[in-house]
Amino acid sequence: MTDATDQALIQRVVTLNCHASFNVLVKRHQSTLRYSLRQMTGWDQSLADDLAQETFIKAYTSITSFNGTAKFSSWLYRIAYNVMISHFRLARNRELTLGDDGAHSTESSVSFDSNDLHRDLAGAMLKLSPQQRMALHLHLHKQLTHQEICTIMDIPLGTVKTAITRGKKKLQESLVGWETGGMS
Amino acid sequence: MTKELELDKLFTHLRVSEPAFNEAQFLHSVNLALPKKRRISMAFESAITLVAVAISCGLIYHYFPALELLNQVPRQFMITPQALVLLGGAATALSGLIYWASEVDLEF
Repeated sequence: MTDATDQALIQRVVTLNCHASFNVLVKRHQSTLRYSLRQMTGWDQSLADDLAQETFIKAYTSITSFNGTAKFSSWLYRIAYNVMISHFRLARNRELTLGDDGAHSTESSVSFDSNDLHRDLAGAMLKLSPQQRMALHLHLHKQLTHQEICTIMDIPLGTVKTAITRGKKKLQESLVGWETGGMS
Repeated sequence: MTKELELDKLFTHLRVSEPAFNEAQFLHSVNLALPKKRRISMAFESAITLVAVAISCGLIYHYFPALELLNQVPRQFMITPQALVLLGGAATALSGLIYWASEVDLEF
């Protein structure tokens, strides 16, 4: 079963309610999704894993709505993006309700290991809006086309392009002073 | 080298060195959180329960010595004054013990 295609596994989940097939899908996609969510959350591992778990549960419960026109991974990223956005919205509302002035945002709760480039970039990405973060990650890291990003994020093409351009600019500003010598 | 190229180079490096997360713990937690599937339908499960109850009732009626046990229950009771005093004393002692225990508990 482990070498079956995503589509075949989805078919088994839909028709037989097969947990084992869904487990194979989770195994196959969890690492990249969890990495992406770490990048989106400033490398907050527990938050990223919680969001990933919620994504997979939502995917399982609504798998009948997956029509197969897009890749399963794109569909997962779409769910993950929605889960992430609603999490940040809830967190912001909670901060406003508690009268927080924003000083205790996610940025301050995460500590970074200066030697880890992945964590450092995740920290730098926190300066971007969640929309810019996701668009930039999908474009530069996942190398998706603008059209694919549109489909995943459910926003117009122009908004995707603007988010990527502004995101790149902000990221470049925050990366000033980084040494890139070790990346050749 | 332009800034654009530097960013591309950075992301290329990150893509190549992307860590893999493969702990079984994550898979296990997702598995636990998934809605459990019903192996049989609710109607079938109810039918099985009904049949099991009917079989159990039949077996108990046939094998359980209910009449013999009922016959062993005494038909008459004699309450003597001593027994009455003993019962009253036991009830008072029990009430006192319960009251004391609750009061002691309140002190904590």
